[in-house]
Amino acid sequence: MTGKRSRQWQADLTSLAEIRAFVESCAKTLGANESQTSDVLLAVNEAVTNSILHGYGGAGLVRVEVDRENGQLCVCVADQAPPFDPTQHITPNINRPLDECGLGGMGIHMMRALTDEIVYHAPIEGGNELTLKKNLSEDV
Amino acid sequence: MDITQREEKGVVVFSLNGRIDNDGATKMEQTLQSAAEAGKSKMVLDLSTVQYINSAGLRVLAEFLTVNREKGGELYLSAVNSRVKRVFQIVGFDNFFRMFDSTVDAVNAF
Repeated sequence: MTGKRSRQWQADLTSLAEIRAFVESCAKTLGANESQTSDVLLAVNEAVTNSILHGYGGAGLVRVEVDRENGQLCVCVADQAPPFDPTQHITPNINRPLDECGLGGMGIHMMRALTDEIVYHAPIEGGNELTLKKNLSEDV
Repeated sequence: MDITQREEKGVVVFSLNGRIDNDGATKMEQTLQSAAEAGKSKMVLDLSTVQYINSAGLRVLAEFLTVNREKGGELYLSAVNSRVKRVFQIVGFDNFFRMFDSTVDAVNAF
């Protein structure tokens, strides 16, 4: 581990700008390049937006932890919303025409495509922990 | 996000400035629908000053494009920067949207 940083925000879309700034600052400190940082920011934005809009649907808190482990930038988005495992969500079939492929799950598809690994954990005390991992070195 | 619109050769050109996040997506959807309801069907989105689009923005564009095409209309994208283009590629939307290097090219393509 290399200096995990963690902060908590109100689960509100107005928190997104601060959350992105926090993750961007941490990612650069932990050695992510511009492209890796950009991908992770998009993915984190989707994860937090899902938590706010679909998880809570109201007031709550979102905690974001950023760390570097085993050559990966790891961003954990944690909430106390009802359990939902997005990694079990079916990816939309993007090879079919737009009016057939269905547009649900677009955010989760983006998270998958922008990161190298997504790990979901449902803590025994409730809530959700979704960790987005991005390879920072070629020897991962 | 700010949206301005003008008309060139019968094509409505929307210039978007800022981030297409959830709020931006809602604003964009309202703007596009208003134009469609006013009878406009040929449209170009100038994305030259858009640095970011999220899944909500992609969803709005895809849904609008689908409905607009069913009515015989079309929506082209112009001046899409590499970062935004990469998001389209990631979700496979680069196959569905026609993108042009410049707004002039997009307008002339109708």
